[in-house]
Amino acid sequence: MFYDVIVIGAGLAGLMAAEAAQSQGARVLVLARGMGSLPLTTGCIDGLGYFPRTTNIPLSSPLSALPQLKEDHPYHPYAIVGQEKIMLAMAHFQELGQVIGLPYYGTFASTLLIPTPLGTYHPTCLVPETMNQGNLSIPGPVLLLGFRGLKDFFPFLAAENLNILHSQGKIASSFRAEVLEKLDLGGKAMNGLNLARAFDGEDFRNAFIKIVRPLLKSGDSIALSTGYLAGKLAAGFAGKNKFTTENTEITEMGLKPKD
Amino acid sequence: MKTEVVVIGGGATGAGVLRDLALRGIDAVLLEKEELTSGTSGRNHGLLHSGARYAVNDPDSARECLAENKILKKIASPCIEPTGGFFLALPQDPPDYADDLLRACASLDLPAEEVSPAEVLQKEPALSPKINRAIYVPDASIDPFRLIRSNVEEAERLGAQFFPHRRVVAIFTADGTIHGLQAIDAKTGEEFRITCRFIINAAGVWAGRVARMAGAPLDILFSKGSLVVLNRRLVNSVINRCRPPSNGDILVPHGPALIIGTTSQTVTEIEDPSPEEEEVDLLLSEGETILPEVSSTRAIRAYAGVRPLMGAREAGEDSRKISRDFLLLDHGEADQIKGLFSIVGGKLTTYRLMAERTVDVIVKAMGRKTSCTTAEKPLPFPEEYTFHDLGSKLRKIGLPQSFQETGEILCECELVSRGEIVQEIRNQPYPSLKEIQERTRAGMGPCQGGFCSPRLTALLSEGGKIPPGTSLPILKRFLEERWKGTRPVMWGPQLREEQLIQALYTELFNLDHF
Repeated sequence: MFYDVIVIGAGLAGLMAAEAAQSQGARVLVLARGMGSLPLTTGCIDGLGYFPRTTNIPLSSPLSALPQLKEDHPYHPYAIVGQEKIMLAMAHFQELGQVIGLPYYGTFASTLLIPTPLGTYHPTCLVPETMNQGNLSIPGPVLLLGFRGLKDFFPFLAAENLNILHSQGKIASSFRAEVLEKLDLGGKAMNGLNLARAFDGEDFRNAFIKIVRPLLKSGDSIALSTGYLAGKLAAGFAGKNKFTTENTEITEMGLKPKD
Repeated sequence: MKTEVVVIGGGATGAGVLRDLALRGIDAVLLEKEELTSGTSGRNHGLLHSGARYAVNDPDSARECLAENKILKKIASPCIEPTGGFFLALPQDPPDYADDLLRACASLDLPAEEVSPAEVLQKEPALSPKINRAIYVPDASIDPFRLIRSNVEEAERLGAQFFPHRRVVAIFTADGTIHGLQAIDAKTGEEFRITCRFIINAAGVWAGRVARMAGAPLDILFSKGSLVVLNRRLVNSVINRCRPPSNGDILVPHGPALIIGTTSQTVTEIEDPSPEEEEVDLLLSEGETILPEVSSTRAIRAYAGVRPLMGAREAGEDSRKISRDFLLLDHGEADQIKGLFSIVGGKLTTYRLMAERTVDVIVKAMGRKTSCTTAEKPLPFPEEYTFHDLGSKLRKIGLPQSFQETGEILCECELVSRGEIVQEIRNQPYPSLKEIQERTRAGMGPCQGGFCSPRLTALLSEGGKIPPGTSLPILKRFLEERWKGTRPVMWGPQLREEQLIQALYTELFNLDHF
C-alpha cells in the first residue's frame, strides 16, 4: 500500500484537503473513525456571521469585516490565508457541488439569513440551492411544514418566533405552520434520513403533493422540516430533492440536530 | 383577599402545613416566591431517613425520623422506594462506631441488624470487598417533588389556595397582632394584600428575612450541602458510611440514577447555591472508596442546597453537630407579635410531623379542637404512578409500534414519550419547563435536557401554556440553570456530549445572538 497523502479525519476540512491533494494528482487515503459530526451540521458554509462576536446585528458581508479581523486576530485562519484565497476556496467548493449534483447558492461576499427550527436565524454564506427558498430576505408568505413524529423541528414555534422578527423588520418573509399527520414512510421510523430517502421516491412525492396542495394559498413558498439535507448528505443522495407543484416550489431549510 | 392562615414557603414544610390546615377545615393560602420545591426541598438527596444516621449523636431527631419513616411509607408509598439501607464500615473507619450505632439503635427500638459483609456483597456486588462490618436499616429513597406536590394538590382539592411566584414584601401588625401581609406577583409586578389572623413562616433559609418583616428577630445558620448525580444505579440500597457524619458518607439510588452526598459547609450566601469543584472531587473520591465503580461512572450533574439550621451558635464552625431537629417559634410569646409562627430546621423525613406540631399550635390559638389526620390519610397520587425505573418504562412502552399511541420518545435518556408530556402539559394550568421535567423525568438523564428541552418548550408553546414570544427567554434561562449543574462534572464522555449540545444551541440555533 502506497499513498502520497494520508488524511486523518473525514470532516469538512479533511475531505477538502483530500480532494485538493487528489485533484493535483496525489494518491490519497482518508482515514476516519465513524461518521464524525459532519452530518449533524447545517450543511451550509458559514462565512462570518457577527463581528465583533458580541454584536447581535449580523454582518451584511463577511468581507466588510476582514481588515479589522486581520488587525484584531492576526492568527485567525482568514487573516492568514487572506481574502483572495477564501474566495477561491469558496468558488472551488461550489464547483465541486455542481459536479456531484448538489449545487450551492451564495457567495462569501454576502450574508444569507436562514431560519432555524426554533425560529431564530442563522447567518451563513453558501447554502444548497434548494435551501435558498428559506432565505429570509425573500419577501412573501412561507408555509412551514412539519411531520408528525419528527421531533426536532417545531413549525408552530418557529413560525411564531419568525413572525416576531418579521414584525420587527429584521426579516422579509412571513410564516404560517402546519403539521402533516399521516405520511407513510413504509413502516420506517420518522427521521430526517428516512424522510429524505422517501422523498426520492416518486410515489411518495405524489402522495405528499396531494396532501399538501389543499393547504396552499397562492404565492406560498413551502419550507419542509428539518433533517432533510442532513439525511441526504449522510446517505449520499444528490440533487433529486427539488421539485415543483403548479404554483409552488418546495424546498428545504434548517436542520435536524440529532438522529 | 381574606383568609385565616397564610403559609409562606412552598417547600416540604409549607406544603405539609397547608395540607394539615386544609384537612382540619381551616381556610388557608400558601405563597411561594418561586415555584414548589425551588429551595432546599428540591435540592437534597431524596433520602427517607430511618433515623440511624442520627442515632448516636442526636437521638431526638433519630426517634422522629423513625416514626415518620413508618408513617410516610404508609401514606406516601407511591413516591417511596423501600430500598433498605446499609451502614458499612471500611478498615479506615473508627472501629467502635458500628457497636455504638447498634447500641444506640437498640435503645431507640430502631430496627438495625448486623449482617455479614459476604451477604451484603452478594446483594450489592459493586461495593468494595474491603467492607468489614455491615448493619441493615430501613432507609429508603423518596421523591421530594412528587411528595410535596401531592400535599399541595390535596390541600387545593379541599379548598386551600396555592400561589407560586408571590414574594411577600411586608407583614402588617396592629397592637402586636398579625392582620395581613403584602406580596408581589413576580410575573406581573402587581402588588396585592391578604388579610389574615395567622402567618406561618415556613420560608426555610429565607425564614429570617420573613420574620424580620414583622420585626421579629430570627437567626438561622446556613449550611451548604453539595451532591453529585451519577447516571447509573450502581447499588439498589441506600449506602451509609459507618462512621460519624462526614462528607460523602451517603449514596442514594434514585430511579436509574445514583446520588452521592453530601458536604457540609457553613455559608452566608443563600441565593443560588452551587457546588464547588473541590466538593465534587471530594464526593467522588469518598464515593469511590466504598463503591469503586463510581470512578468509571458518568457524573451527569452536581447541585447544592442550603440547610436552614436552628441557632445553636455555640456549635461553632461544625454545623454537623447542630441538631437536625426543628424549632417551632411562637413569636407571640417570644417577641409579642401574636399570630406569627416560624417553623424552621428539621428535614424532609420529618416534614409531616413539623406540620402537625405547627397546626396543633394554631388550632389551639384559634380555640378550636380539631385533631391531626395526616398520619393516617394516604396522600393522593395519580394511579399510573410508580417509582420510576427504566425497566418498567421499557415494558410499558414495548415495541416501536406502540409509539403510534404514545407518540415518539422525546426524552431518549429517560424514555419519556410525547404523549406523556402533552398530557402533563394539558393537565397543568401554567406548567413551567421545570415542572414538566419533574413530573415526567424528561431531561433528568445524561444529557440533562440538552436535547429535549427545545422539544418541551415547543410543546408548551403549542399548548398555549406560555405567552407568545417568551419561548426563547424560557429556553435560555433553562440552559443557564442547566449549565450550573453540568459544569462541575464536565469531563470525559460528558464533556464530549456537551460539545455537541453547545454546538446545537450556539451554532445551529444561534441562540446566543437572540
